[in-house]
Amino acid sequence: MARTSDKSRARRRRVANFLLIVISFSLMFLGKADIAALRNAHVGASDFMAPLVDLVSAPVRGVDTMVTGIRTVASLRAENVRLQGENDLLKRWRRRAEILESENRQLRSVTGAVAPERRTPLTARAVTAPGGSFAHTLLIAVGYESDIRAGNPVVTADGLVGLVVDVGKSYARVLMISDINARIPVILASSSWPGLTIGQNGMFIELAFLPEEAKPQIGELVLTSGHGGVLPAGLPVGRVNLVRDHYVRVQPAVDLRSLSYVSVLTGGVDGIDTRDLSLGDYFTPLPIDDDSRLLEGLNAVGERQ
Amino acid sequence: MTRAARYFARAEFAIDWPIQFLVGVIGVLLTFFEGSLALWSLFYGATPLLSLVFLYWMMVQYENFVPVFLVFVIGLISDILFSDILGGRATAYVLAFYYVGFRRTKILQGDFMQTWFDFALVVTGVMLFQLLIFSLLNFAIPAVTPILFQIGSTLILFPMGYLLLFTLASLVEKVRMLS
Repeated sequence: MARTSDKSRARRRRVANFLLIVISFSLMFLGKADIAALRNAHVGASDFMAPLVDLVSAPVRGVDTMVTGIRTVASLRAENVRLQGENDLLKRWRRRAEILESENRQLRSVTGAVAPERRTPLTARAVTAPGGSFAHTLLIAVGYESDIRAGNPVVTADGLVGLVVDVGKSYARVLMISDINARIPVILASSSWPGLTIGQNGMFIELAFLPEEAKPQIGELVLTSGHGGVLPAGLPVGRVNLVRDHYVRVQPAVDLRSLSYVSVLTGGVDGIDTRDLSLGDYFTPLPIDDDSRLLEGLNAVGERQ
Repeated sequence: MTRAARYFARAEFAIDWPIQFLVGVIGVLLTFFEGSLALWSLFYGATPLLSLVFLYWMMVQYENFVPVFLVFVIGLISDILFSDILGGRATAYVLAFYYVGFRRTKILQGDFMQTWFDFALVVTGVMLFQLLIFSLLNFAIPAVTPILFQIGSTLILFPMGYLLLFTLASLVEKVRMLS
């Protein structure tokens, strides 16, 4: 009797183990399939866990603040000298900026350039930082209660951090520009050649899809181009750090390792609504016609003549 | 089996549940702590797998208190917290659980170096499995340096974690004996 019970228990355990493995693999593929229910569950779980993580992070933050304080005291004199020099430099830059601003205003009135879309910055505290090697995301302490939407850019005074991808009630997840899935349309500031930055889950990002003619220079500023309409144009993404053959590496403008507070630029576009994303509304396939070239017979708005 | 015997059999089966729950809570808290370590620039993008150190030690020393479901849940929480592929680390942890179960007797019979070596295999296996799944699903290979750093820092911290857990376990044992 006991042996039968043991046997059935062992069989049940084996079935349970097998089911667990099946569930694990299913989760991976369902997660990749980006099913709305799973995504909502994911966002809900993040929303639930964020305050707990925040609580657990308190001692870590405390130690960090203490270490920073000790470092600051140790380097106070040198810092003072450096700051005075920097202050003089900034004053000179300010005068230069005022001159340029005035010139810019005059030029705009001449060319009829429009001001960028109105966006409202909203300050948010970063609850977590990227901890794994496979995803570079950030949890911030604002959610849809604060009118945050997926697609809102996240910046600091130095430049672009990333964009909001998941929004919970009080917390949102930001896909950072260093994430392997982040693709940001950019231009080279000096030459205006367009390209695309691709994260590598590391400290640097790759600048790809540059035209053949583009000759990026070391130190050249890379700005968002505004293509696609999700991100506003002109946000600093980084500076060209390495050029080797066709590989261009960019150092992010923002030190992504030390983010305590960020600004979410709300408004502008309404964010990306992936739930109702119907491809047919945006894309009309051309009829298959082997005898004609792809753009032959199309007018400027893409209609067949 | 009589009714009373069935009751006691069930009670004996369920006696580990509170401890299993406690192990789960500690594992989850360690996962949160792991996540908060990323706030230090040293561990940016590659925090040591503290929860794995704890789970490995528990799986070796107190097998009964670590059911596979618990390992799966802790892995899943890691996946959600770090925004990794859902189920990626959970599966890797479950596979690690089976590996440790298979090697347990040898690890217990061996010295510390043997334990450390086996842990190195587990950590490398977990990271490589995640890398494989990530590369297959995203058609891209992420930067390898953070992965190597994550493996390295976990292995460096393992002896400290091992010592700490051993000390805590012996303290708990002493308290239990006294009471």
